[in-house]
Amino acid sequence: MLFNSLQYALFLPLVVLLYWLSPQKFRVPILLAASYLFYMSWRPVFIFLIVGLTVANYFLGLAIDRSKDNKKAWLIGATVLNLATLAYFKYAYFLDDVARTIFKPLFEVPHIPFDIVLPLAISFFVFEFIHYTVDVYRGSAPVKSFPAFALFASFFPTQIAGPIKRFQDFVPQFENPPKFSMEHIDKGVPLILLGLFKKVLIADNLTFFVQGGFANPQHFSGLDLWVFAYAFAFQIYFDFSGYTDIARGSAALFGYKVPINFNLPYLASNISEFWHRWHISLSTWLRDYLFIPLGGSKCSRLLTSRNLLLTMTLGGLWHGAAMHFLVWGVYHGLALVIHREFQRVKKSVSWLAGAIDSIPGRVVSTLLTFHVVLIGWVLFRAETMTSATIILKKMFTLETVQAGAQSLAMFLPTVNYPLIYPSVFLLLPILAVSHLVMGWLDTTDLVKRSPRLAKAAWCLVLALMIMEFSPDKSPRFIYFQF
Amino acid sequence: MLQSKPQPNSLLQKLKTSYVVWAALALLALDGGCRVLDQIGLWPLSPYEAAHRSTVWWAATDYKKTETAPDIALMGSSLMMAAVHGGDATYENKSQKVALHHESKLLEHLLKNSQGKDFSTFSFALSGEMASDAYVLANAMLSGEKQPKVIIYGVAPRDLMDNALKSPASTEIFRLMSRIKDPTDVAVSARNSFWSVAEYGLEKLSFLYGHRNDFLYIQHKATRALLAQLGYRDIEDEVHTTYEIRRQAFLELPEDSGPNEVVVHPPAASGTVYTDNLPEYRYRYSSFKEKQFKEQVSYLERLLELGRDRGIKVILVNMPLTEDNVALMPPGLYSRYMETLNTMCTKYSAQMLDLNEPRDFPKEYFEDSVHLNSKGGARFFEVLAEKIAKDSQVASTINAIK
Repeated sequence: MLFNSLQYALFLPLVVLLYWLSPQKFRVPILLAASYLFYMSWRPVFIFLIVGLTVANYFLGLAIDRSKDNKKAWLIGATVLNLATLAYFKYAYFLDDVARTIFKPLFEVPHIPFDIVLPLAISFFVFEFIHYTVDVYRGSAPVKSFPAFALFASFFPTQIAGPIKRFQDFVPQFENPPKFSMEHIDKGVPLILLGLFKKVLIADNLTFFVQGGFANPQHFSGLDLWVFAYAFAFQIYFDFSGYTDIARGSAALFGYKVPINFNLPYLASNISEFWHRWHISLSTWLRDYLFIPLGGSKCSRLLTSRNLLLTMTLGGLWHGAAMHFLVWGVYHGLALVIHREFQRVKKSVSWLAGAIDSIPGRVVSTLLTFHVVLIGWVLFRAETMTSATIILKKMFTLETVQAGAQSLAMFLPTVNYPLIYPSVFLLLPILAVSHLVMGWLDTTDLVKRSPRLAKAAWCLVLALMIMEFSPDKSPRFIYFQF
Repeated sequence: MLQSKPQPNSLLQKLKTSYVVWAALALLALDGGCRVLDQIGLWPLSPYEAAHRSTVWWAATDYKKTETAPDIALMGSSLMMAAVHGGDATYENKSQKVALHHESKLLEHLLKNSQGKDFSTFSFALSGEMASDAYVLANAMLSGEKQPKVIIYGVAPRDLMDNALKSPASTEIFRLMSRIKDPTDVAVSARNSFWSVAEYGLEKLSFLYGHRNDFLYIQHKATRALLAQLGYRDIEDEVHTTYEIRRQAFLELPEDSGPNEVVVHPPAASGTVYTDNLPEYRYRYSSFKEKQFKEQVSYLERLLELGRDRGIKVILVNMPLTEDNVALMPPGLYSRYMETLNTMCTKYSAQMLDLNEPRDFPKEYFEDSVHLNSKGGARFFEVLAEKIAKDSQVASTINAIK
């Protein structure tokens, strides 16, 4: 059941209605049942996976808390269970391929003789379980109520693609349940509408354009490929941040808060800041459960660099078991290492610090950061590493296709793809400016302060745009595959 | 004694303070207002004003422009379409643009020779046209002043079965025709899932949602105007997309087409390259869906019934196929199909001509195992004209036109 489907449009109001009309003690069980139903709407059999892992982690959390001498052993057991499940479903084929390549000269490693289907959301709930068991090990009190714990892991608004929640923030909301107020609706609905607007109007309309370019890079000029790369940068941002808005809005309808995941990432003026603004719940997870346990930055320069590189490489692999994701992770790791070293230089050269911190300096830094991220997106989006190499080579050599080709005439066909045809060249600059406008709206708090009538008009406009300009075919959210 | 101002604590009062409720009410009012405008004839757009142009859009628009009804409407899938365009490409020795060419000059010429009268034709033969599409096309377009005297419908077993077809209502032909004249009799049965029926219900319930194509059209028009202001040349009727994006487009959006998109050349220019598409048909026939076959047969029956009720004579033409292709069909399917056509023709006083004779159409007339090449297209209409002349009943039907 996709957020942008008719099924969800019926499911969500029904659950909201049932939730608020029920006595308080039934509300968590109702949400839990709805969340499991939501999960089963894709492949019912995987309910056993999420329930099984939930039960196991619930008891493992209690065991870690109660154990006096074997805390670490229980934690290791829990981590192995969670990572082994993730590895089996997500990385078995990849590891098999890697093993086959490595051991080829020595012996033949067999292919996996059966199909492994990747369960939806596994990367997200496994990371939540790891966070839970580690934090209990570090001293947080475990969740006593099983339904509350199960709902923490399966809460349908955040189930499929996060944000990756922290149980210390989320579970207490069940203990102090919210009372019905129209404020929940007024908070939730506009967020859902904004999310749908981002997803179906912007991201989905860009999908088709991006797909054409990345599927056949050999047939496009370097200039074309720059346009595709820009389009993908906005597609992935609007797709994922749209999803997060819908998730946050859906949660708000029940009176719950889930963390933000994005904070205008393309306005970051360096790569470190970018990771504080992009997929925040993942980057903080990587920081807390990978980077810091590795030693973080409280060690030598060399080891800090190693930690950064390792964290980002594994972060890359988290997105998918493929070489281009791994290279994307390494690329960001290297970028962070370079940024860190540059910061040291900057601190010691006062004029450089002054120049970079000035307004023109920040503009240049922001543009530079955006383009560093953009190159990363090519690695991320390309279908294979070979394809990524072709695209990057063409982009940097500005290679042209055969003479006379209409390389810039990339007007697209038009079956209910309203914005792209024929306006992609108008759309991309508008999207870039929209980032600035949203930043301005955030800083001025204009939406919150505006009168009710203006807010109502905003909702109306969003609803109308979604109704009228959504493509007939809406692809899945990009982050559903992770 | 002073009384405090009452707080909004009743549900109604709470609702009044919610701006989401205000927005919802405004949306309902807007939707209702637009519906009223439509009811009193003030809605400014017609279904023909579409943001994208599919092959059926080109045909429907062209048909709307014709001043009088044609004598003969040709219908069928790409099998008939290939014959119509290939036949005229050969006859006129000129390349034919599929999006723009909607008649059979060759058939008109041959009938004039054999019957001694002038006949006009219009072709609604479109790629992917299933029997269900033919029915909704006839239902929406071939009525009133624009009603032809005769429909010649070229059909083959594969037009009653398609693994890629989600439901009859999912095709572009069905969608456009539903906008022109909603086929209420099949609106629910043509949708094979609860959700697609719900979607249809929503389209009916909300005027704005049901007319979203109109808004797409406005948006496209506005964007084009803006691009023109910015110096982009007009792209109204041309295809500007580079080939590879276009190819991708066909995978994703097969309905979209432009005037230069699909062109059928005369034999000299096109050569005689034969494409072996038997693997596709091996798959298509092996996963034969009984339910779908019966469903499509029922649409064919509706078409014949519509012809009878409107006084349009329907001539079914069994389209030529290669022997290799027929051999791939599940045992008994072809004879069952022929039996079905014959039974229905008898029931609805329609007529039938069987052109699937390997003697008349050896492999040299085909560009793959089912589609005729340009030479084959010309041959098809020659054989058709001969068969019409030989079959006294069909000949009298044609003669009765004028």
